[in-house]
Amino acid sequence: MIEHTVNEIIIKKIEEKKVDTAIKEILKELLDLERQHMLLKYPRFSEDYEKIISKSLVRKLKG
Amino acid sequence: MIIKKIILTNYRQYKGKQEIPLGFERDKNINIIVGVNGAGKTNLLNALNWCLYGREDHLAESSIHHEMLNDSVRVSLKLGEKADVSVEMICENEKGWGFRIIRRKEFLKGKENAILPVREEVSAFIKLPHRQDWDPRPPEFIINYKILPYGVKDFFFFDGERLIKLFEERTAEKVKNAILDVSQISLIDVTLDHLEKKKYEYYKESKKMSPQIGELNEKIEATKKGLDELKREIEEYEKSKRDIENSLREIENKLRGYSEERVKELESQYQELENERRLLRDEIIGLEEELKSLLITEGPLVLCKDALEIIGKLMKEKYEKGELPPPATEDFVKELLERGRCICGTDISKGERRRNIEDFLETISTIATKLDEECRRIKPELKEILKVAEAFFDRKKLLGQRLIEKRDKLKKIEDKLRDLMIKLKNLNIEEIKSLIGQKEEYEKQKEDIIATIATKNMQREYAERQIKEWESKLKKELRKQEKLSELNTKIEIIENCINVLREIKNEILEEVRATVENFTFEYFKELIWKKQRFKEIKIDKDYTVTIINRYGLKTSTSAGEKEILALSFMAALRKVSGFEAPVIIDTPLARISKEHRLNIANALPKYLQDTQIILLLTDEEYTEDIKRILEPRTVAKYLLQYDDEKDETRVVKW
Repeated sequence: MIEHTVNEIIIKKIEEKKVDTAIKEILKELLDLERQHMLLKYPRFSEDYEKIISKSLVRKLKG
Repeated sequence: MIIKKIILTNYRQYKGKQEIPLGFERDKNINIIVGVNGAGKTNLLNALNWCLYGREDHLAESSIHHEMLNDSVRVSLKLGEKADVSVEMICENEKGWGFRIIRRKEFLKGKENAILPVREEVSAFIKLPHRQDWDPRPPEFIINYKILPYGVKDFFFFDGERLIKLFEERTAEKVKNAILDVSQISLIDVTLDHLEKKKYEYYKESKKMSPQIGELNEKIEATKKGLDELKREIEEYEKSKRDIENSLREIENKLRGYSEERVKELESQYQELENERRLLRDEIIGLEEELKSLLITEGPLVLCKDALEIIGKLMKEKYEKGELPPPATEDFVKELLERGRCICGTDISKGERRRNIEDFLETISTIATKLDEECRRIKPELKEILKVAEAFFDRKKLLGQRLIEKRDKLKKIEDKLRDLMIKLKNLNIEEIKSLIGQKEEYEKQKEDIIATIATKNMQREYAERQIKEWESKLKKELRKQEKLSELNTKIEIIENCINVLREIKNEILEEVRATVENFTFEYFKELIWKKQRFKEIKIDKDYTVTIINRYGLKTSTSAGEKEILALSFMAALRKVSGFEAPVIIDTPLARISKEHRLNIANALPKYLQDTQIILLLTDEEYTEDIKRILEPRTVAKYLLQYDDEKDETRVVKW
């Protein structure tokens, strides 16, 4: 499957999952970051990775 | 996506620059390249693989250690000269975008005919529709996202010779890998890998944290208890201090009632007088002793004074008369003895009388001498004694007077002391003393208590400082616990993400497996000539491939059927991959029976209807039957002309 199709399928499947919205959001953001990293060796990968997880923590704690 | 042109320069048997323009039309989607064995068909496949991915996956074993620079060029190079090998692909997608990939490798001729690779580079360019200029782009991006990623290229560029082996051994593993590759879930895999690493990182971090909250709380509690005890003790001591101070005040009040100052004054006077009396007594005793001593030592002299005065007078007279010293000298006696006759006429020449006189002579000489000496000696002493005796009365009188004075003074002091005692007695002196004693005792107790309170306060301050310090530590530990709790939540989030992604991965793989299964059977039925014989193809969850016959039983396949199965599977994977890349098949029909071959030739253009097909065929494969079937669908046709003498291949339009 071509990449964008796979991405669409993954996103759709994430949305269908009966899990916390916080988990869904973090997964979508992480996958997006991973995709950028695979494509361009995203320079701020680790930093942004940590940010996404921390953000999800806040969401989780608030939620 | 189609390949518009392949340009080879000095690549293996392709000497110099050789261009292979390829075509695609809706009704004519087949490009045929025919060559004898060894002419370079498979190396054409290798050239495309190398251009895109830097690998030659289909190399013959004999060529693996053989550099790709054309042998003829290699031999013609002089020592230190360089030559390039390059493969260029020009592609175009359905929207008219152009993509160009060039991979170049430079070689240097070394000593002993060694050919040394100097550098290798790949460049990619993009061209907008209806434009002529090519813009450079990152090659990885163009290759993986615009042409064909490496993971799925085997479903587009494949070798018919090897294809048959796909279903011969380790089938399940190969099918699984193929489905994993075509699923393009590397994004999920990479994400899962990173999530696992992150989870481990957090886990390690959390292991480092072991908040000592319990221990600190215990310490704080224990110290607080101790502090409370200290405070209670301090309060008790303060209370005792206050009690003592009250008692002291009471005593002072009482003492004030007794006119303490007056008491002190009287006592002071009493003491002074007492001291004075003691001194006087001592003085009187001294004087009495002195008087006694005077009477004892000098009293007798006073009694002998008259006699001594007479002796003195007598001695004076005797000396004056010359009676002293006595006149009977030794010479006179000695003369008598020499004469032998006394003045009285008695014979003293011999006998007892003479001996008596001799004794007398001896005695008289001693006595006279001694008397003289004694008289001379006592004469000054006698004077002195008489002087002392004369002074005795003066001294005795003086001592007596002093004694009287002292005794009078003593009497007066004793009178005063009696008066003072009377006054003090009137003041209830014992009670005062008792009060003063109590006061002193209380003051001592107060001092002790103050010292104890000070010590206890120091202990309290220390305990308070410790509590403060531990509470500060506790705050830090609580923050640590908070951080630990955060880490645990992060780990939990990541675990949830991992679980969701794993589920999604399995679902996708399952869907891909099911789709590949369906398409494989569809294509298989299309390509196989015994269409009724096979009812179903199953790809199980463990990726085992099973062919079910018309009776619903598992059935075996012939070599040709296996290759058709492989072709169908590859076509299914290609379909599922979603990429619209050209399909290049090297010798697809070599090992297939005539019936299957004709069937494949008939079916291929149909089942790859909208796909550019490049068939690399041997002259034996490209039979008249096949030619007849494929010709109407053929857009371009080339012959690989191998020159045995020059050991090189020329691509010639056929």
